[in-house]
Amino acid sequence: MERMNSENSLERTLRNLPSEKVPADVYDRLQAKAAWNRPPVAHQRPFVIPILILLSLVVVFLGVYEFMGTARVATGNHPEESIPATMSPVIAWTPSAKSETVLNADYDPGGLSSRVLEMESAFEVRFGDSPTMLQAEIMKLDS
Amino acid sequence: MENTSEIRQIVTLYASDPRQGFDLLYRVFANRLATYLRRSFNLDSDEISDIVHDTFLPWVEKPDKMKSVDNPASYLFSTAKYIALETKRKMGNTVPDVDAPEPAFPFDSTRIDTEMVISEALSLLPDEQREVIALKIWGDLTFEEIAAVQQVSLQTAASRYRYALQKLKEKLAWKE
Repeated sequence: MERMNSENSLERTLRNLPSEKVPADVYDRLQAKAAWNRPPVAHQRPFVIPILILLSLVVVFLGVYEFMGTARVATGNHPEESIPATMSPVIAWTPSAKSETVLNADYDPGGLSSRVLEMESAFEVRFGDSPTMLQAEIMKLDS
Repeated sequence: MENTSEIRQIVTLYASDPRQGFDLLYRVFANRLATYLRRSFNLDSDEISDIVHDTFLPWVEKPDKMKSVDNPASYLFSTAKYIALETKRKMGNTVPDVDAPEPAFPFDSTRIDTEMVISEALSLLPDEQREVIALKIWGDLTFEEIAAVQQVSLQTAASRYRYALQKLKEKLAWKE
């Protein structure tokens, strides 16, 4: 009993010691960050970030694509169909064996010799020419 | 027990209205947490304020998540303990200072002596014994809640408390 009384009296004394008091600004700081005090416009935000990410990816992809196109042109190792319409390569025309046969003065079935002769000359597409200009030149040759 | 019904009231209110529930939670536990931190870890007022702030922060920022907490008392004190230990670790001081902390309020000299003497005696106890006294006396936790905070069995928490009181009495030369 005495032991219990002494423990109880010690406990009482301990409890009666002054307690710590938290400053009022702690509560204010917490309320400033409270979810119930946040502005309501946050609802639109979930869509903004994914759209921005998507746009960034598109821009990066286009950039890579453009770069790959330029690299292919520089190496000259590309099939004709892979060239974008906006870009015009420099192509060196190499006369084929067929044209040599056609150049034979005795062989001129359709009056093509003049045309062929013109074609035999180095056919260069100037850098910067668009396909439409190319087509116009070819049509001019055909006429 | 009054403590249990108080906890139940806080949990119920917080689940239905986090704003009011938090107000009640803060009113009941803020000063208790601060006193526990002072007595158990001998931290200064600024550190205590920061730890109390960080302890309550999830309750205002993520009420949907905190609604699932069954016992806010043991959760709050466990969180405060973890942050306090981290604070002490960063300070490079895991052993509490022997010097008595400054009193929270101005009071007469006899009480100042008692406060200082008891604080000094508390600081000489092992960490877990000092903590169990702080949790029981100033945190006003049940032994079940203390066991959850200290991560020991209920029996260990209760016997640790009795042994800590006995040692404190010896150090204080406590007379009945």
